[in-house]
Amino acid sequence: MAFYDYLIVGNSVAAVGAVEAIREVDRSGSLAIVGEEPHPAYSRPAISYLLTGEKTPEQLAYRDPDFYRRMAVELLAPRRAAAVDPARRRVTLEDGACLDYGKLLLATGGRRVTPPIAGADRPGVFGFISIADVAALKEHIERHQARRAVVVGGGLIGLQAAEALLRIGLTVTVVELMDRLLALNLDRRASATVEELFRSHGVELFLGAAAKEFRPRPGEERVGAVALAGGEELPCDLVVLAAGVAPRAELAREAGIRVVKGIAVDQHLATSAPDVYAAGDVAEAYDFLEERARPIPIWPNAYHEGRTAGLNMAGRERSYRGETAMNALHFFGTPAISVGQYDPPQEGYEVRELAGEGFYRRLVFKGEVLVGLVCVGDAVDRCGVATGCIRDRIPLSEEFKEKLLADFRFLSLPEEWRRRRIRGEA
Amino acid sequence: MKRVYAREEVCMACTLCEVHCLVQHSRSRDLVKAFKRERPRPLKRLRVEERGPLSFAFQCRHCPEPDCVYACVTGALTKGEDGVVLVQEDKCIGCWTCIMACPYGSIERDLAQGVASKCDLCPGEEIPACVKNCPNDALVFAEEGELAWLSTTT
Repeated sequence: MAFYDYLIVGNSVAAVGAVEAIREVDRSGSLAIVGEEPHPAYSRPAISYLLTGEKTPEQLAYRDPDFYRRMAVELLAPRRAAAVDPARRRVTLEDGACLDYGKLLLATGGRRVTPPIAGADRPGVFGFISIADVAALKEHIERHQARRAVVVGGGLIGLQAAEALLRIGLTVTVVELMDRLLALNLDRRASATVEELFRSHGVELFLGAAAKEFRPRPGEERVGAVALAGGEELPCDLVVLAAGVAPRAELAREAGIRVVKGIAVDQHLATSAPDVYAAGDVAEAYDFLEERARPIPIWPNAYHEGRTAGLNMAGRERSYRGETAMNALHFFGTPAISVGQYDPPQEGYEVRELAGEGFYRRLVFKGEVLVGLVCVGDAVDRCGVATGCIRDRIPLSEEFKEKLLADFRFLSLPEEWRRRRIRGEA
Repeated sequence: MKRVYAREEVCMACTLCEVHCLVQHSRSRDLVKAFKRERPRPLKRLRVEERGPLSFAFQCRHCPEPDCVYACVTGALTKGEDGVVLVQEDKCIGCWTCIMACPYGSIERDLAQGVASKCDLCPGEEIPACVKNCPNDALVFAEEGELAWLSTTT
């Protein structure tokens, strides 16, 4: 039996955000993290660099090697939590250990969604969200001298896998259910740019196509082809299945904690159970643009949620300021960024675009306020100036809308806001 | 902590701050070599904005709660004990999430190295190069609390 003032289940970015916040307030309270992977917290968005060999697992570490000691954190890993009992303030691990807590943070992240495709559990079908996924994929490629890959899912994770597989010499085909790539990350025009990039690098795209079955190689168990609903069969030596992630909220649900899609939290990131908090991909935090809680599984939001939870756990009251959807992507050296409501959800929005050679910028306004943006290529420079306009709901007249579209700089902001920014006022 | 503040009423957009910033962040620390010989050319870490008679220089605020550090997906951006926000270049993968997050537009793409580039307040120098070399005192290195006089003049 062990007791910790602060116990965190999960060892990724939300946990690190919480630890750093707790230690800003409380240097001495006992703190432990239960992590199921045998690694310190690492940069999940950068795992494709493992596949290409540009990084080792050690180089992916999200913090310095001294982090857990410096923060006086006991890292219990690789171990897995089995149950939470909020009434007894106890977490039971799969190995039978009981950990009692003063405050608990559930930061268990997301898991890969497995769509109903026959043969999805076949050898040679891989996820692409963990170091273990990439290690297994790499081992398979080497052992079988794999040459042809099919990536199912043309979202961020699938395309990162596709580019990395291409870089190490495989032939790559991408199958996407929607009629365009990155349908959840970019507007149609920016998607078309990314599609062109992949095609020009020799990647075949099947858009608006559903994978129906992962078929075996003749006489073997492992995958040998992907059959599409349209009748095509794509021969391959491996499949990367990247059809999205979903909150891993089972621990909370089984403990009677309120779960919608993710774990429901209030403005302090507190769940429905006393002294239990949730943050990161498993939680449904407030989206200040949509003006509602929803899971937004992106890295920066997970840090902010973890940080807010940590401050509150340590007794420094802090309301979550709210985040929104935003993504910074880059494929084949071309960057693309989207923030907020770049595809207007209904009538009543105003779209302004500026495009040139290797440059595309789209700003979406609701009345005087910027609510969304897409930038591709050199248009990403100083893009945060516009993100700041979205967050601070800076009213922009016709004059400043045009200035902002042309150039992300302070002279594109109304005078009062220019002065506030220069003084560094939040 | 001390930060660099601009006084737009006396800035004349000479861009000497940019020149000296670039030299300070060059390998040679030599004006001519930095501009004419070093390849890739070193980058300046601040920008001068100018429209008509209005101009000012601007660089990282080294925020108390830095959005860039919180957004960084690799941990390359850090805020040190001294409050200075720095890029660890060997950890940066050039994903530009920080550029998306920073409301000050104070992080630039170093395209030659594929990493983020920003103001480091000139480590080892008592006064940052931009401030030291401004001929008009249009840049001041000051604590936030010392700024009352600034806000009355701007």
